[in-house]
Amino acid sequence: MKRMLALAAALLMMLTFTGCWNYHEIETLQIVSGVAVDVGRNGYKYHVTFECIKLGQGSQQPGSPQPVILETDGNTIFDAVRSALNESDKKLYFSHCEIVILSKQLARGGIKSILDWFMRDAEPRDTLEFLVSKEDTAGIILQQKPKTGQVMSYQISNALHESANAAGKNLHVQLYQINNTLNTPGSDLSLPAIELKPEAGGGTVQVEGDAVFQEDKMVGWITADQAKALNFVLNKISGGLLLTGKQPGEQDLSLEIISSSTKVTPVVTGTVPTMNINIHTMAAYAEQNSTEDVLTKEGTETVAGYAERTLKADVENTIKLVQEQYGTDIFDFGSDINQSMPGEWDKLKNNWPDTFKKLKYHVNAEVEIKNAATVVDKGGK
Amino acid sequence: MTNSDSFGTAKLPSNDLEANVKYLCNIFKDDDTLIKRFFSSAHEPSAKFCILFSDGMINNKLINEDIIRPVLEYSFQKDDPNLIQTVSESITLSNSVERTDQVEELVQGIVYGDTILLARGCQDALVLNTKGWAVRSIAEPESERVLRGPREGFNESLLMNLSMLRRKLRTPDLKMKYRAFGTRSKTKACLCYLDSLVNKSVLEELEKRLDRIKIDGTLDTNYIAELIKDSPFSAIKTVGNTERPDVVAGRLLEGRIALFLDGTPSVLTVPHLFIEHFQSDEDYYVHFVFSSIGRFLRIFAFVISLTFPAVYVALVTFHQEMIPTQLLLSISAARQGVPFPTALETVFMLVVFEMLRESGARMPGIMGQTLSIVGALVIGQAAVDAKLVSAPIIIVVGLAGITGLMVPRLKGYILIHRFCLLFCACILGLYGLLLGIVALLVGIFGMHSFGVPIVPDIHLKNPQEYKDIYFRFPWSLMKTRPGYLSENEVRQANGGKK
Repeated sequence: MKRMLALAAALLMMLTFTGCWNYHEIETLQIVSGVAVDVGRNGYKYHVTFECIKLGQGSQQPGSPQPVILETDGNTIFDAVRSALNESDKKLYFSHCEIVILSKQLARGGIKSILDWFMRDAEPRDTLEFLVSKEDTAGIILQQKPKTGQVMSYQISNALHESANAAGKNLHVQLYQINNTLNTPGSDLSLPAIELKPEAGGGTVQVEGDAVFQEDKMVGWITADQAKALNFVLNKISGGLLLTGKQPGEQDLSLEIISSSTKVTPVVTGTVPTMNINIHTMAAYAEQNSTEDVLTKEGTETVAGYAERTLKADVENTIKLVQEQYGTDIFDFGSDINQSMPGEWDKLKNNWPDTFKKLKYHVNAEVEIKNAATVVDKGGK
Repeated sequence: MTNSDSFGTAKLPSNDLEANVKYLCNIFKDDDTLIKRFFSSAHEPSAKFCILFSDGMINNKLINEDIIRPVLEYSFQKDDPNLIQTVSESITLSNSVERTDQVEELVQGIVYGDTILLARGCQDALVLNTKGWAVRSIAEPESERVLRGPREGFNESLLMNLSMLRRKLRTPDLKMKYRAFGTRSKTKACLCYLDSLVNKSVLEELEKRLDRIKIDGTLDTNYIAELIKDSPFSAIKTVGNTERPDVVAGRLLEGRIALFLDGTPSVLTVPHLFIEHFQSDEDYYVHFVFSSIGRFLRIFAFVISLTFPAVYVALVTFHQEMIPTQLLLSISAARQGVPFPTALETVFMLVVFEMLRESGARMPGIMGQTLSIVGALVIGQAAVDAKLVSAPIIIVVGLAGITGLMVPRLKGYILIHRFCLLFCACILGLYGLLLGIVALLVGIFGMHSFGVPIVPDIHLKNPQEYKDIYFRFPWSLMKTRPGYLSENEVRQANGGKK
């Protein structure tokens, strides 16, 4: 009897203290693939565009997923989400949502209040990708017809991953990373930017450069090449190309980055810190877009030297531009100082935005060419 | 005696031949198969005899040649006072002759194919071994086929079965102890074990449980298995059974005990471990890599068959976020327009599958084609087209069913517990499924077979004992027997413990 009671008590606890659970059939869910948030109309705070996926019926025509756009207004994000029920017969389901696009207008006003619902609600993932639209609204991006994919949001999400990994020309920043950056002293946020690309026969969208933030407010843009330099400093390069040439500014040699690692070591003397940025890149000689056989004539060492020169110049120029134009620490220099010398950071942190504008940096790029894909003629003479 | 067919210590009524025959015939009243034949010696008419036997149970040639002919041709002394003794000692050619006046023994002899010989002036009778009836020839058991290895299987004759075992283990260490089951059926049985290997406590426990059986008839060893097994209500077998002599021999060599029963080819072995559901005799006849892979696949199939429908329902109705997006879209597309909830759909299709399986097992072979057409086309294709069920369910149920057939010895367990887990998943999702699996594991790990835990892994300390559980190691490495089964662990000379 006692055992039965204990068993019943254990079962009761196991069954009741389990948190959320819910039985809902899969076809009753309106799967949301992407969300775009704009400034609201008609007195509402937000205008939210949802890209949902509509499915063909049954198994006979295995209907390819068709994107459906829903647009709602609301005073909070959740309000807008629930307003969607006015026109959709199914509840929106966010667990398979991959991207959130913010309009630049909203981004300039601060994004913290928008992030909150996505962080707090159970359905959206912490790995949502956030982008900023360079166009007038964010919704217009989702309203485009997908060109290479079936669903616009997934096309953008895949393009974002591919270009971040294989070209290195943009960041891809997930919700939890945004949250971390916003809550880390001495680092500022940058998000990938997206724009329309007009083309004959209907335009498409492309990921282009980054949006730069101060705290949670957007302050400006950097180009794709500058975004790549930013990625080098942040040690986020996993692939991509290094274009270089014999003369500074020339771009007729392509090196494919195999791997790259960056170490940032701060040195603090007095009130102005110096950042030592050591970039070590392994690359393959991928293309020489000239009639001259540069590699054979000058050797790998020299060609690597050209690449080092280019890389160093790119990084220096980018840091200089951000320092002068935006004054926001998207390179995470502040948090680097905080981590390696917390005592110094305590003195610097109160005046960090000004200190950042003045800090010195020393870039040391090291490029190693591992292989050259040279065709060797063996005999036959 | 409480039973009408037991005669206790009753004796034949007198030394009068006619009276004795009448007495025995009276016992077999209304049994027209009882044949009696009076005859007397040609040289000495006073030497009168009568034989009684049950028609169909005897070998006519034995009776004619070895009993009647020698008696007819023998020159009896005049008024021999002890005709029975003369016949028993000097006349009959039978190899097994027993002299008795116990009615019980005579009756048992008649019903078991022996011939009773009565003589004038004697109260005793002879029981002569003339058993002879048609038995099924030795064939490969349908349910335990192998590609390589011995192909003989037991048949329904106890003696023939014992001889098959004896031929595999030619040692006096092999003990064969007769007993009988069934107060009415009086079925003969035989307990076999290797005396120096057997775990004595298991043997003692088994004999104790066998002694307790008081059933009127045992037509198959499963009657006994259900009466002696641990956890009698569990679908897990704690008593093994096989129709193959090589399997029985192999198990005896590991220190197990076998119980043969007359009239059935199925032989019980104890103790029976959980892992034996996944072992096959062919594992030992093919390369150890293949047999290990095969064994591993069977365990994997068991897990899939048990949990796959439950996992599917849990994912599709509770945890859509765990399904890859593309899969989610195709499942969602397939579900469009299907009227029933996923849980009901799954239960429905599982029941349909079990019906198909059952009808396949019960119906005559020529109807097989009809079944496969109806099963595959009507229930599979047409039900999906008519949007009664969604296509993924067919795949889920099909996979669960096919993997279930890979472990036929656990089909009852799988059938019941698959529904239990499905129920858990339907009300609580993956969390419920996990609770259900924990409950099943606790159940399995807590079970014993004649004092041996059926999943002994957690008790094992010697790595030798893992060599034939989840994987079958090469014979060169299996130096000892499992210590929890046998008292003598050395399997290969100079190997393992001395």
